[in-house]
Amino acid sequence: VNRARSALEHRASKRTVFQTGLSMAIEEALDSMSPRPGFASELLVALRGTPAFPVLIEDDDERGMSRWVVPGTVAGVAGAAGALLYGFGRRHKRGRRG
Amino acid sequence: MQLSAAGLSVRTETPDEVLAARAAHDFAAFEELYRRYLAPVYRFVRSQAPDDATAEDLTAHIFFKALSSASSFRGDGSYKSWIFRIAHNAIATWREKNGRSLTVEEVPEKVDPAPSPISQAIASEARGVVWEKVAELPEAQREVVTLKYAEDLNTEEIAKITKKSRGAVRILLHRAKLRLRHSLEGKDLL
Repeated sequence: VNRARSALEHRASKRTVFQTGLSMAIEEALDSMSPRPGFASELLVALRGTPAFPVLIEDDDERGMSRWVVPGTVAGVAGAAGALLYGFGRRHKRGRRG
Repeated sequence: MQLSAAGLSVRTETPDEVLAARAAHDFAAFEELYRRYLAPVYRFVRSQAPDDATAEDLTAHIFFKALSSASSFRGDGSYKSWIFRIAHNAIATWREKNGRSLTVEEVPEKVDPAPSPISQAIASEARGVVWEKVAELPEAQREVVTLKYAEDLNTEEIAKITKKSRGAVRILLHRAKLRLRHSLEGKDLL
């Protein structure tokens, strides 16, 4: 009985150690993802020029999500325009680099 | 607010919800929220996106949406839940439009101020292995795992963000942990 109990306890403690280790490993792996330097300030500049007022915008299938406009969403016209311009600028830069 | 006692400076941050209530007409308030949530939102999006460029596009979309919809924040939940809900919706819409799953193709790069190149390489390799296994999880499991472990959200908050029941979130987390446990066992990382 004692041996069985001890084996159970050993297994339980092994599981706890594993769970803690697993949680920490996942946390660390996910924490290691951060935006590239410069992204925060680029986006902030684009956001700064965006007045906030909600209106409905229509989606254009041609442009799709590649232009950051999602169908049916309520977004500011200026906000959407800002996103479009910002996205275009970034893609243009990427294109020139690549 | 800044309190000073015996040469120590204690700074108390303005709560998110106070800032959120001002964000529609006060860009400084929005900017503070942006500084607080850019990294967590990016991290969440990146864990669901195939590459850095898509993650940046989606993150930008989420913050434009958060700014333009700032006046719709009612304060009946936390700002964190609110912005992660926008992120969840943006990712879901992206998936629908692109008609495919967001399989993660590359491990995100990390600029880590680690002390030595060797320990940095080891840590980075371990992180890469764990990240690979997280990336292999089915979308729904990957999403709840990220919200739980990277963003420290509780089951109820995750349920609200993902529009699932608390029970469903618990089951997804349990399955994800079992799967990760199985795939990481014997890798000598834990």
